[in-house]
Amino acid sequence: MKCHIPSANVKVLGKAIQTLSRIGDELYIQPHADGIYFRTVDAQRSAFATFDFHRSFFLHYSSSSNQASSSQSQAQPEICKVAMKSCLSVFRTQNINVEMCKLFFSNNGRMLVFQLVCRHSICKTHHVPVIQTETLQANYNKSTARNKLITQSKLLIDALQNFRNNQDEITISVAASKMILRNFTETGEFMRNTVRTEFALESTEFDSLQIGVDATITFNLKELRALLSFAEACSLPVSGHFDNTPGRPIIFCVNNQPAFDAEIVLATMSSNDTTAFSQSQSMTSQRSVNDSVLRKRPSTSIDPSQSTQKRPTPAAPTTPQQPVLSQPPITPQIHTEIEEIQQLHWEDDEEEVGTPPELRAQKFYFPRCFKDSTDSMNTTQADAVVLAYDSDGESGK
Amino acid sequence: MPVQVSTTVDAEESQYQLVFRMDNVKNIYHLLKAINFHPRATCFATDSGLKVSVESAKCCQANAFIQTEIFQEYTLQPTDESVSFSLDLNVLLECLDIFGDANSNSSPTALMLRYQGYGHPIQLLLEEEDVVTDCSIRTLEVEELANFDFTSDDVINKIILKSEPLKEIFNAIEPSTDIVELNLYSNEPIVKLRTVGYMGEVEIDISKDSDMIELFQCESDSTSKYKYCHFKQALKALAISQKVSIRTDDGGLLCMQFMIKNDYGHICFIEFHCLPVVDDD
Repeated sequence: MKCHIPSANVKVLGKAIQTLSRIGDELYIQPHADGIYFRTVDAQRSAFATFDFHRSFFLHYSSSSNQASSSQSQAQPEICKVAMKSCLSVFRTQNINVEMCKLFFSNNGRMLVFQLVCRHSICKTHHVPVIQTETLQANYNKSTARNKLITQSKLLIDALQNFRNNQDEITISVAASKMILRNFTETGEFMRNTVRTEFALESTEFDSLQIGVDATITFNLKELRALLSFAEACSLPVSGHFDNTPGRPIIFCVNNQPAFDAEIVLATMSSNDTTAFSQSQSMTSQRSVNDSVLRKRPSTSIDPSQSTQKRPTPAAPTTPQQPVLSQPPITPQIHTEIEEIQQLHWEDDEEEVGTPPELRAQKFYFPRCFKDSTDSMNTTQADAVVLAYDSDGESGK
Repeated sequence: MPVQVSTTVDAEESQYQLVFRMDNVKNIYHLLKAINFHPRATCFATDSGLKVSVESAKCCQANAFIQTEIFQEYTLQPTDESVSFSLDLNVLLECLDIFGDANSNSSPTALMLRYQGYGHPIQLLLEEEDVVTDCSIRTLEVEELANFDFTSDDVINKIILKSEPLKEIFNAIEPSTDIVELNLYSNEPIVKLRTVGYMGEVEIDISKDSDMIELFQCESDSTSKYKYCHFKQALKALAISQKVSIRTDDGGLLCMQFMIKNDYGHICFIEFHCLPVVDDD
C-alpha cells in the first residue's frame, strides 16, 4: 500500500486519528481496492469506529504492494494494527507547514511509515512499528433503522454542554416529533444527590428527524462527543440511525462523499427497563439489570418474559451481592472477527454497556462474586465436594 | 538614547561596585526567563556588559549576554578582581515581575540594580508609574562553572538557521523522548535529527536547498547524541530568538548561539552548551 495525501486532507486525517484515539487504543489500518479503512474498537467492545477514506481523498493511491520480491503480497492486502499513541504523535502539532503526507509500509511490512513533506525543504518521517496483522470488522445495518436524525454538529454539541463532562451515559427518547435527552442514573441513586438533566429538542431544530417508532435508548456519551468534535472541525452534518429493538446499536455517521465517510457504532442499553427505573421509587436498591451485551455467539431473539433477571436481596451498596447475569445471549448486532487467543481473553472480562461505573468497578475487583458458582442458590452437588479440609478441624486430632 | 559607561569614581556611587539602570525591565526579563532551567544563576559584570550563567548537572550550560548598549546607565568600578555574584534566579525573576507585567507592553517598569560587593545583597529598585518597589536579594558564593572551551579550531560543523521553522521541528519532538541524535552530513540531507522512543522512530531531514539555512559548513560527517531532558532547556531561548547558530566539535560538544532582537532593535545573545551522551561501546 502506498498513498500520498495532499496538504488540506492531512488535517482531516489528523483529526480522524484524534477522534479514533478517544475511542480505542489500537488503530487498525486496512487498505482495500477503493481506499483505506482506519478502524478502532474500545476495550469493552462496546463502541466501534471506522473511517473510510476513498480514492479521491488521496493524490495518489495504490493498494497493492509493488514489491516484486514477494509474490504472495500481491494477493494479500497489507493490513496492520498499530498503537494509537504512535499515530497520534505524528499529528500532534498543528502541521500547518505540511505540503504532503506519504503513507506506506517498510521493512517487509513490519513498519508503517508516515512521511510528512513540509515547507522549507523539511521532511519528517515517523516509523511506527506494526503490532500485528489483523482485521477488524463489525456487522451492522443502518438502513433498517426506523429512526433517523440529521443535524449540524453544533446542535448536539450545544445540547450536550448541558450535561456534565463526567456523565458517562445518556438516554435519548423520541416520540411525537420531539427528542428528549436525559442523563442516565441508576435507580438506587434516585434519592441521592445526583443532578438529573433533561433536555428537549423539537424536530424542527434538526435538519431532519424521522421517527419511525417511538424509542428510548441509552448509550455511552464519550464516543459521540469524539465524533461530534470531528464533524465540527470538518463542518459536516451528523446523522444518527437507531431503533427501539432492545440491544440494537445506534449508529452515527459523518459523510463527505466522495472523499470519506465515518461511522461509529455504539452498543445500547435496552429501553424497557430504563423506563421502569425512572418510575421506581423503591428505597431498596432493587436493580433489574438488563443490558445489551456484545457477545461473540450466534444471535437469538429475546423473550420479553426473561428480560428481567433475578432481583437481588436488598443489600448495602458496598457488598457485591449483585444479580447474577445469567440471561441468554441477547441479539448481538456487532461481531468482531479476531484471533482465537484474544477471543478467550475477551470472554473473561466482558463488560455490559450501560452499567454504572461503581458496578463495573466492583465487578472488576471481585469477578468471582459475579459468577454462578458463588451464588449459594446455584450451588450444585459437584460444588459441595470438599477438596481440602479445614486445617483447624484437623489440628485437634 | 543616552548611554553612560562610566568607570570613574562617583562620590554618590563609590560604595557600589556595580550600578545599572534600565528603562524597561522587559529587555532583561525575557532573556533571564529563557535560561531559567536551574534556580541558581551566576552574574559576571565586565566592561562590555553583563553575563548571566546557569548550569545544570555540569553537562549543560546557558549564558545570556547583555551588552552595555542595552542599559540606560552602566557603571562598573574598576577593581582588581572581577565583579561577580550568584543568586537565586527564581527570586530575581519574581522581583523583576513584581508589577505583574514584565512581559507586556503596557506601562514599562524601570529597573535600577546596585551591588556593593562581596557579601552584600543585590539592591533592586523597580518603578512603574510613580510606584516604587525596593528589593534586596541575598547573594551566594560563586561556584566554579564548567568551562566549555569552544575555540574555533575545534569546530567541525557549523550551521546557521532561521529560528521560526526550527521551533516547529523541535516542538514536534515527543516529550517522552530519551535521546536526540543530531547528524550533520556533507551530502543530502545535510541535517538529520533522529529520536527513538517507545512509540517508534522519528527522523527529521533538512535539505541543503532549504530556505531556513543561512550558512552551512561541514568538514566531516558527524553524529552526536544528547539527552533530551538537557537538550530541551535550549528551547525556551530558541522560542524568543530570530536566528540560531549550531556548532559541534569533534568531541560532540554542542554549542547553540541564539540571536535575540528586542523591541528597540538591540541584539542580545544566549549561548547554550550541551555535552553529548557517549556510548560505552
